[in-house]
Amino acid sequence: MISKLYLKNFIAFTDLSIDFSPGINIVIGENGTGKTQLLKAILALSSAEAHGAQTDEQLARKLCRLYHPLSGQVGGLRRTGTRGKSVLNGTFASGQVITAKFYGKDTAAKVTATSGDVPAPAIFIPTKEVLSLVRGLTAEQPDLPTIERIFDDGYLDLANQLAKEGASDLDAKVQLDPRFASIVPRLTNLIDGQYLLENGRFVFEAGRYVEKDTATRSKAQHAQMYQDSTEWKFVPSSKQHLSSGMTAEGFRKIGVLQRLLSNGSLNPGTTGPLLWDEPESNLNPKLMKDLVQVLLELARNGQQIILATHDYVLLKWFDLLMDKGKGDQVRFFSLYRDSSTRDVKVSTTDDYLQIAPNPIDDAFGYLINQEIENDMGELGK
Amino acid sequence: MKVVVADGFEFRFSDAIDAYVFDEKDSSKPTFHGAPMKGVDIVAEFDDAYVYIELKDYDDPSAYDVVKASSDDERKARLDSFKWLKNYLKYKFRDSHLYRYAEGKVDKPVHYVCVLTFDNALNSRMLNELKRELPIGKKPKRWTHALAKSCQVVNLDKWNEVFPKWPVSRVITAAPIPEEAEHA
Repeated sequence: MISKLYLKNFIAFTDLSIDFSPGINIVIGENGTGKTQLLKAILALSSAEAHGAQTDEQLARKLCRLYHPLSGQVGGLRRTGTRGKSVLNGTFASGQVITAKFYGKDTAAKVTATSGDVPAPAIFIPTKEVLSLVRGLTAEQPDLPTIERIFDDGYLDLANQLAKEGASDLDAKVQLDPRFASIVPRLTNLIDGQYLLENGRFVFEAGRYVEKDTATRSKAQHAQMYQDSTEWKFVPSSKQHLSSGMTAEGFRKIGVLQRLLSNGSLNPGTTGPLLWDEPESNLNPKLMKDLVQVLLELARNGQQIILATHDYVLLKWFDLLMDKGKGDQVRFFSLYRDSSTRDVKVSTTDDYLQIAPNPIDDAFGYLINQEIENDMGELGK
Repeated sequence: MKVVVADGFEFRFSDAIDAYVFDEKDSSKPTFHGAPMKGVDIVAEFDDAYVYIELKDYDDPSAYDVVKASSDDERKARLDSFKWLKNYLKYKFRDSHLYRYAEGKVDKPVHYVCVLTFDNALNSRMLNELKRELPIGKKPKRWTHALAKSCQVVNLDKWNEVFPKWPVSRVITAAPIPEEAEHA
């Protein structure tokens, strides 16, 4: 879990400090204000490359693989037109503070870490879906230089996390762990099926989770059921599996979350922050409410989540579904450029209506402006 | 300059010929409404237009956000609230326009502007709904002219942005209406 991020002279950022909520964090901002860059900085600072041996070179290479600077060197990520070195600094709930510094011509970063437990690595879900790319990205003899030229490390990291074997018996996990019982059936029924890893590629098995037939339960099970929660069982609707490429891209994005939960890559309470860049892309807006409910449920189980979005519906669902009685903490961050210095700044609020500037709502405001201009001309101006 | 205070807001119309509280309940005032009909809060007259203004100040705008309700019960409650507000705004316009017709004051294009304390997104939705139900800016084949030229739904910030000649601000306390706010 990351509690604070400080970025100085780094790509879009001249001097930016952000305090994250342990629950849900939503970053908005116009294009070019550095939302994705911010998520990737968290990914880098909590990665294995920022800890252990040779971190100076390892983290520098990680940053290059994530951001693809033109020069190919980490120094190319230093913000042009500023003085001094680039600084990335992350404070983690584990107590550790990781700092990386470099100058414009450096090929390695100077990485320091205070004492404290090494933070758990973050999971980054990029804007494009990755499920269908796993086969190519994790092949036994991959052409790494080519792959790295096409995809940044955000994609490769996720592909590796998806390909991990784990307790893939999702059904058993749902029964054994009440946390999953409230999340996995909801995700599965959202897309009417589940994705399974078969021979190195993901396939889609159509079906739904249904409540277990009460007739098949023993009295003891009934007693348990009343104490705990509903018992669920996945019922396939077809024996034939589909290639993931034949399913909707929005479904594949949900499938990513499904897979991360089923193989243990995403384990609320122990995993580092879940970083999700534009969850709304390719997603039917009707699925948004359920997705937000799943994310809130993950957060209630101890999963820190940091999202970047342009989407009103996603933003508003969080505002409407958050339940402070259940301990929900949703914090909104608006990245914007200062009108005089053009530096990227951040404003923070826990109240949806207080988000300012709010480019998402502004977009609706521009529609109203045009209506009034069309209908009323110069009246009142 | 015509200054009007209504429902806790002060409007300053710098270029108005006239502007007053339309649904005036004080029978001692020359602008007393006095008819068993609904009335918009303010009517302002300009050289080339009349503008009807209806204000609604809400503490909890989400009570009207039907699309985002989290349960069926909540959805129904919000749907009811949203419908109620839409109907409220609809009938306010109809009755006011009829009243103005009887006054002989529909000789210029009419614009109906609702000022709601919602965000732009929710105001856009309310505008679309209102436009579906109010015959504004369009007319059936049998009519010779439309009832009104346009309908708009804005919040306070948007009002001040798009109508810089008619700034609005909140009146801090529920003070008595100042002399200058009265109909001249």
